Amino acid sequence: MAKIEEHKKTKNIKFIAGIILLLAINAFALSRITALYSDDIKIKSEIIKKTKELSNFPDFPSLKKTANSEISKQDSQIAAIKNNFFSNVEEIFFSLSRFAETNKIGLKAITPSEKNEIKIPDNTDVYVELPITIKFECSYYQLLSFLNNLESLGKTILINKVKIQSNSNNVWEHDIELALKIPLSVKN
Amino acid sequence: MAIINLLPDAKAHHKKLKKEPEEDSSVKRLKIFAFILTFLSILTSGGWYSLSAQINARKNEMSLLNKKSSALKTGYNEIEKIKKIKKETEEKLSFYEKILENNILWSKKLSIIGKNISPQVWLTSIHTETAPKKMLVIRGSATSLNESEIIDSISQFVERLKNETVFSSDFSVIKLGPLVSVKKGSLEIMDFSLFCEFKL
Repeated sequence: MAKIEEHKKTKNIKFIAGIILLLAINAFALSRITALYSDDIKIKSEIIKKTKELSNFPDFPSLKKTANSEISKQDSQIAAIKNNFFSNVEEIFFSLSRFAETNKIGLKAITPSEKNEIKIPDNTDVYVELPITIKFECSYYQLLSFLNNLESLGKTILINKVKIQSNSNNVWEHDIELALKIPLSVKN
Repeated sequence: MAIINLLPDAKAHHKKLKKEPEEDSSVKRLKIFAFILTFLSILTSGGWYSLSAQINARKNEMSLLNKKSSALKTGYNEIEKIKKIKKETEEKLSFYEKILENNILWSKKLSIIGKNISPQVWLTSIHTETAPKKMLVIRGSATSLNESEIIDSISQFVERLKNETVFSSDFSVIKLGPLVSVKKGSLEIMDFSLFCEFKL
């Protein structure tokens, strides 16, 4: 009888211990769930924020494509402009004397000055131009033909100054002075 | 003589019979409580597990978003570099365009001047000036037996030049300067100056 009582007592103690364990497990699990729930809310709000942030980014590939195509278009425009520049001083003198000869103009003087070097905004390139003053004597229509030849050459020649003075000794001849600025594509 | 006292025993027995069901019901209650606790344990464990899984999924999503964000930031930096190059190229192009915009086709301008000279007019000089303003100055003279024809021929020459867009397009102002009359023998000669201000 006493043994039975003792057995019952032990059983009850184990049972109560089990209940206490279950209570502890529940309490722990609940505390973890609470912590996880607050983490979940935090991560969820971060995800929403991040998604919103990412949606504000522009479409980079298309943006890059457009910008690159614009750059290449501008580069080709620059290349086309520079392609019309004289590559050396000798070529300039040759063209001037050739057109003077074609139009039967006797050149009095070709005076080149110091080259002007200007740094281009991106600092990777330098613009070089050669100022040249030419003096000659010819008729008005010889001058027109000479200028027309120069302009039709397909090279950039900037005429900065024009001076046509009638000659008191010869009505048909004029004293001409032209100040040219000729861009060069390379340093010479 | 043996005394048989049945009453206390009976009472005691009765008491025993009453006590045993009381113990059973408390055990039963405890068992129910234990069952509820077990059920709650299963529920909380399940909830814990599913919440953990959900958080893991969200963390994965977050890590993907972070990767995407870092890729976009790299793309953004790349775009910034390209924008810088584009700006530099634009500046370079506008530099060259500015140089070329001052390029005047003089053969056309001089041809128009020559074409529009009246028979009574001749030119003495054509030149450019830079100060006080950049301008083309055309000086000439006119003569005629008829005095009014002299001024008319000069005005017509100026008007014709103004009307020629190829000539006038590069100038903001084309104005006739003072007319000075000089007598040379019986002939009256009128000198004139035409000032054509270049557009800035």
